[in-house]
Amino acid sequence: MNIGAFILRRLLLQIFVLFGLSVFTFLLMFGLPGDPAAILYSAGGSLGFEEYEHFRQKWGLDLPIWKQYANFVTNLLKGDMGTSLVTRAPIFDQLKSYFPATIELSVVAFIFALIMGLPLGVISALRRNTWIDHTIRGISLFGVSMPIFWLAIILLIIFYYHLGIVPSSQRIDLDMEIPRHITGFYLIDTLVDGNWRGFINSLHHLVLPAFVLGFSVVGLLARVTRASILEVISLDYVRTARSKGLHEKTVIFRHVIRNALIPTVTLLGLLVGGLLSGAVLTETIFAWPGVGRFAVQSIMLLDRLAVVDVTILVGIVVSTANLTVDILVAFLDPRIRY
Amino acid sequence: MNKSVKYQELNLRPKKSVFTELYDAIKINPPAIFSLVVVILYVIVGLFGELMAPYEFDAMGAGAPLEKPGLQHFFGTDEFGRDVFSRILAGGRISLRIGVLVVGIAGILGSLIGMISAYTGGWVDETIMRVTDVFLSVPDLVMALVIATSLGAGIDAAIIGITMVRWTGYARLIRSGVIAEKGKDYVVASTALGLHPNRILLRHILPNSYTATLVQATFDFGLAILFASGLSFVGAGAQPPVPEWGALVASGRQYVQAAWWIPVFPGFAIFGAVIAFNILGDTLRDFLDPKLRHSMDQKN
Repeated sequence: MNIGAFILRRLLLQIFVLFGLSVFTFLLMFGLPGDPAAILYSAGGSLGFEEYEHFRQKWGLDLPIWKQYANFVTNLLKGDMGTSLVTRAPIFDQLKSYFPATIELSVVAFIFALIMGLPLGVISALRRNTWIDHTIRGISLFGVSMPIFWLAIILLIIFYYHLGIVPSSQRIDLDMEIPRHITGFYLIDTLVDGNWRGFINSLHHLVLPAFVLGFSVVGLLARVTRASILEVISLDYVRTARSKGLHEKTVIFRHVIRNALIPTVTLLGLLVGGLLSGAVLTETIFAWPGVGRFAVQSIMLLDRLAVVDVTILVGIVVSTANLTVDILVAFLDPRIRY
Repeated sequence: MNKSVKYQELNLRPKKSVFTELYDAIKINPPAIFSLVVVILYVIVGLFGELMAPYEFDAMGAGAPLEKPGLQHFFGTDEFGRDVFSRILAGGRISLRIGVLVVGIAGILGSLIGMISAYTGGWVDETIMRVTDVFLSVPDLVMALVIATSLGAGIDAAIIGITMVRWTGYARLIRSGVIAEKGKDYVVASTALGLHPNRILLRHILPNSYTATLVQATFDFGLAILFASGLSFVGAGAQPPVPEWGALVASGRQYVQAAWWIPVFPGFAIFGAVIAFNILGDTLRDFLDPKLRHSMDQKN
């Protein structure tokens, strides 16, 4: 199949899926019995009765659900994600400020997971059925089975409460100046401004959350790498490479690993999903001001519009990652392209 | 001796029951034994945990508040002086119920939908697959979180939430299994013999494609426990004072500086149960995959 047609088809499918996702979450949030505005009116009394009435009218809460949905989509296409019920700030602005925090955390976690996971998988495969292999498989099993929030708490007990060598929350010390907003990634923004103290400090804040988040996917990465190396290593062309007298190192690095990494690339899409759902828990524990924590807060306060928006955002990120992976694999593996 | 030689000559293996074979498979695999023991223990705790507990799980002042782990209270006490060990034992039932319900409902519902999808084909199949796409477009935990809270947080809401994201896995598995079997000769033969499609599906195709589902179900049992604890941890699942393990970790969080044991021990319960189901799933997969089973025989 022509790669252009392939991408177009995937793109259309993606739009359809996102449409389905928006309908589903919208129905879930607005279709169920209960009054979306009442929680604010009743609970903390952040709305007065008139404001409450005004709110109901603005979002057309008395209209039939499909009209509400049409209203929502029209606004969304115009770039208006609506206003948060809780903070009463535009949801778009909030997501814009939280998004870089989550990306920064996830990217560092991801780098950590790659540095740990890939070599572990390769070593495990090359030393198959030795104690090294068993130990590494044990580690990845731990990573897959461990409740990530529990790991975070244990590490906090050790490194924060007892040793006192890492901060427990936030992206930067509270008494430090928040870096000037350039990209929203503190590590980059501080570097650009030559603010070394800020850079070190935000890195310091990142270490523990990123480790916890990364560890949750190391196991997955190591497992898939191991399996895919084992699959490639027994293929004929590897035997050919060996029998023509190539050095074992050359065989492994030039022939085996290169081809074995293709299935691992497919995994990246899955990893993005894993990191995002891990971020929900990690950000909650480390009070990390990111999309995950915002999602939990909106969900718990039934800030319905915010929930729908966040879900769609997450859907866009995950499906874009998957699409990118598919295209990447098509380029890496000519068998799929032609 | 003579008999076994004969089997070898014929390149046959003595006919063993499935259970004997499974036993043989586990025998040579210590982690599998460990996981089986833990799973059995887990089920026992789930069924009789409250009876085995040294204290009432909700008895305040069973000990002094925040008492360290010791002989009186193995895992210490929480801020109300409740016995942490007893609370974990009582939480076993909740966790077992979550696992059974999620895997049971998602497995049965998902398999049914998958069968319908594969066997009907056409637009029905297309629609069902696109619906699974929608569910898979957001990470499981996020979707479960949204569903659970929209139903009003609680254990049952969490169960429904997790079930609604997990059925897709079974639907896809069974669908691909049935499609793979559908073209095989024995199915064509059954059709030619004039058997009713339902009968072919239930009596012939299904028994041949259930193995992957069984493995999936084992993994999912652990996953359900993990997810439910995560949901409870952020507050969308079990609500205090229910002694669900994730909720226990969450409520112990604020006392972590003074009393590390409150969140740490319940976490071990989650971790132990999940890892046991994961190892069991691995063992089962190796066992049910004929290619791997062959290599296992050779190792013997």
